[in-house]
Amino acid sequence: MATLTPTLTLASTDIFAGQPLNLSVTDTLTVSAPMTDISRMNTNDNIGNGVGILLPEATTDTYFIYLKHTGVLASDGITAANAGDDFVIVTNADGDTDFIRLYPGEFAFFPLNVFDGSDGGVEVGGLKVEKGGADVQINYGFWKRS
Amino acid sequence: MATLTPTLTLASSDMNGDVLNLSVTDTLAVLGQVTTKQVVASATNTVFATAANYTKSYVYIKNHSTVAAEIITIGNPSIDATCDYNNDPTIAMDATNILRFGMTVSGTGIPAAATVASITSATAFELSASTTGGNLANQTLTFGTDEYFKLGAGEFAFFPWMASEATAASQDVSLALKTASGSPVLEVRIYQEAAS
Repeated sequence: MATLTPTLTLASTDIFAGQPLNLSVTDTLTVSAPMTDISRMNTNDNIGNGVGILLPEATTDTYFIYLKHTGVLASDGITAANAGDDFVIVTNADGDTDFIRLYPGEFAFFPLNVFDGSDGGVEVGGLKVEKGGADVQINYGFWKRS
Repeated sequence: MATLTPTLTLASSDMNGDVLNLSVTDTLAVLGQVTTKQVVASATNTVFATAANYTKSYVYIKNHSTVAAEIITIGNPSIDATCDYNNDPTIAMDATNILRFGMTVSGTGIPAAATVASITSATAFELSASTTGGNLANQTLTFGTDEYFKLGAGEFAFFPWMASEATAASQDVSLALKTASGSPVLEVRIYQEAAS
């Protein structure tokens, strides 16, 4: 087991009239394997579960997920992705339920729900990244809730 | 137009041989609606952000409970108000493309624990049980769709929300919450992206 400490701050000086925004929240999470350190992949890579699949269907544990669109095309690993449709679709493992789109530079952090037996009892669950336009590079990490 | 600057740090000193010390930040142009509210979760799946009311947005949610059992699940219900049925498992609706086999179904005349048994056409599906209440037209039914997040006590999430951005499957990405225990409070902050 290990301890993961996520901290999120949301700041703005001009979002409200007369009131700056300065939210800070932190948590202490107990996590265990399987887990990753911060890693990198392309949306067309197969890291063992199928193309783009970070966690397979029927994953029965809760995972804390970090995803970031690096803004780099997979085709050369260097070029910034500037096309409007070069977003990353975040969906379940079989790709039928999209729930996040990451545009270049954007990130997300969330506890992924466990497999719940819906959708005919054969899924849902898992996590997959798909290309919107061209394949791009993402940074990711996942840690199992202990 | 305003600027929202989110920063996420992830730290751990005992995970691997090296120390995890990630820090990422972004600069987001936001405008339009800013929603800040607290919602009490219950056993009933309740929408707290309707996709049609927002363009792309950034969402922060936090479970404020301190009780371990008070877990909040976040998903998106799928609601359709065109359902017709008459004491029979067959239900007609304008479009079944939001349905999947096994989804729970609730509404007037729908027996408890009913699910989608089969999708027979683009405009009809079979329920796992016969409906009750006679000939009912244009009823609003709620289908239990996928759940994405599971927020334990004190846990939070931050993500870009598609909201009314079109999806290929005409998926309703409204956000709903429920809990199996207690009445935990969910803090919700939604920042609508400025039109590009």
